Amino acid sequence: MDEQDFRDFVAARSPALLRTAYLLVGDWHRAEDLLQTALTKTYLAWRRLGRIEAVEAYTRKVLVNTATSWWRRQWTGERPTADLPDTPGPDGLDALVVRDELWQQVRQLPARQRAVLVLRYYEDQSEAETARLLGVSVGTVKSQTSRALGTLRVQLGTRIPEGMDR
Amino acid sequence: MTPTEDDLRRSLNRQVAVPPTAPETQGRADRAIGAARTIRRRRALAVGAAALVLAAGGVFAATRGTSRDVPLPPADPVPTVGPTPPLTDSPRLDLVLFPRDDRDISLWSAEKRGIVLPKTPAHVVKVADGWLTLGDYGVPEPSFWVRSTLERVPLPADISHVVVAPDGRRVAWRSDGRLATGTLRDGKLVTENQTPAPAEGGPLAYTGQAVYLGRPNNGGMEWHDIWVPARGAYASTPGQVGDQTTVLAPTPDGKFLAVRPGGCLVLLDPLDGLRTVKSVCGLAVGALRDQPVSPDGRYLAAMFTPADSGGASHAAVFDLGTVWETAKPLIVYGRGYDVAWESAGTLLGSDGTGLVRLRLESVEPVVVRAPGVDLGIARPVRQPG
Repeated sequence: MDEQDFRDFVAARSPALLRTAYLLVGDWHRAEDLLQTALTKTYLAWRRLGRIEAVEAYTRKVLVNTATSWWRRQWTGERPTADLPDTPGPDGLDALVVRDELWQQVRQLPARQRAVLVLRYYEDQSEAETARLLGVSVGTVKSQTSRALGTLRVQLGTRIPEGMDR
Repeated sequence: MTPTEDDLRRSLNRQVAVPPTAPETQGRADRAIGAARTIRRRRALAVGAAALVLAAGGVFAATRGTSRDVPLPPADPVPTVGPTPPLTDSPRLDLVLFPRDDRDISLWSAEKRGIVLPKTPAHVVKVADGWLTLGDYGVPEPSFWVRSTLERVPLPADISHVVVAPDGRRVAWRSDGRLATGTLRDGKLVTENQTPAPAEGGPLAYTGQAVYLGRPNNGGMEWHDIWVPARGAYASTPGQVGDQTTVLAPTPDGKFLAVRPGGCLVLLDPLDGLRTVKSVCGLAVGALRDQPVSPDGRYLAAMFTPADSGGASHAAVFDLGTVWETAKPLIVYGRGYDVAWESAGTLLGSDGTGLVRLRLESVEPVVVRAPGVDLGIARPVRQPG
């Protein structure tokens, strides 16, 4: 694969990778930073990756692991305010409001738990693939998923409309 | 699939359904290729330099064993050789460079020294004599004071919740079940006041006279309180549980800036029971970065969510002299940046692709050229306070 292949890969796949990056870090500008770092690392490994399927998997792995390593540490200096800005919903239904609030709670989770949720529930990766991407065991993926969902249920427990999570 | 899982799946997809701006694909490949080539060149130079030094008789080993100070460019493990490229437009602030290739994080001082940081710090804070490299806030992790002389002074092993007063000398922390304040002096962290600590939490801000204590949780505070060391031991103030006040920073005149639900910005007097001195509501102030108050105490830098931005946060500056009446920012920049005050009237910002200087009189950023920043992400070092 040559340089043009890399450019084609970036053009085709970076929008999707950027969306994943956003869910990992919770901010579009930081997501751009994260994606740019992942693409640089991908290009450094370009010649040995061999085929395009391996490239995407490699980039995704770099994306996730960078987000949960020094990237995570870098952003711990941010101090969220007590009152997060509202995200206007198109229909104003209570359920959508709760889902927005759910996203705010997802953003509060530890980086690795959030990464597990993004891989499992946004990217629809299997537990085994999620474990491979994060470099952990399947058991760890299960426990992190369970812990993260448990936290979300507790945090939102008093605010979920009746019948929604029962 | 439980209802929560189903809800989560919809929520995640909803967040990325419409990015606030059109995806910028043009240029990503060019930037990645350019950065990768620079990294390869540096690696090749480093290998060549190491070979030369080893051939010269083991000087490398001796040097590396005694120092972690290296000339610019940083991030190469060989602390030697090559002229330091001059910075054509040197930022007056120190920068932390997070490399794109998993090498050590390094600090570029304003004096053009590249310093490989001990361990991977979560925070680097400028102090009067050097820098503190700290672990995750609230977590006892190895932390160091890297002095201007490049002497590395380990801080107490179980130190956590370290905050620095605006003067860059006075420090408050939690350690060994106690709260303490002290001074960085003559290569030592000299403890001056101690008191038993509450079960959880610790210092969050320090004016030099008053320590703001608390335990943040989910955007609010489980509890908060004030300890004034000059008045004696810490005593818990009743009724401070579940408070939604989030203190942002001390001001140079000894007050605390804080936010409360409803987008309220408040100024609190820590020597008078956290009395509200001033307040203004209706500000869409989002997350703030470290060191939001300008050195002269006149301005507040914050992330701000304009009503027409689709929820995107932008860097903004508030005039702390007038915001209480105007209830609006002085200036809102075109996007979000990590910022630090470079002087009373300028900010240095990082957006991941480079550095910019932000001025109070214009929304247009001025690109700051610093050779080598394309090796990674450069962030301004947090200033004390």
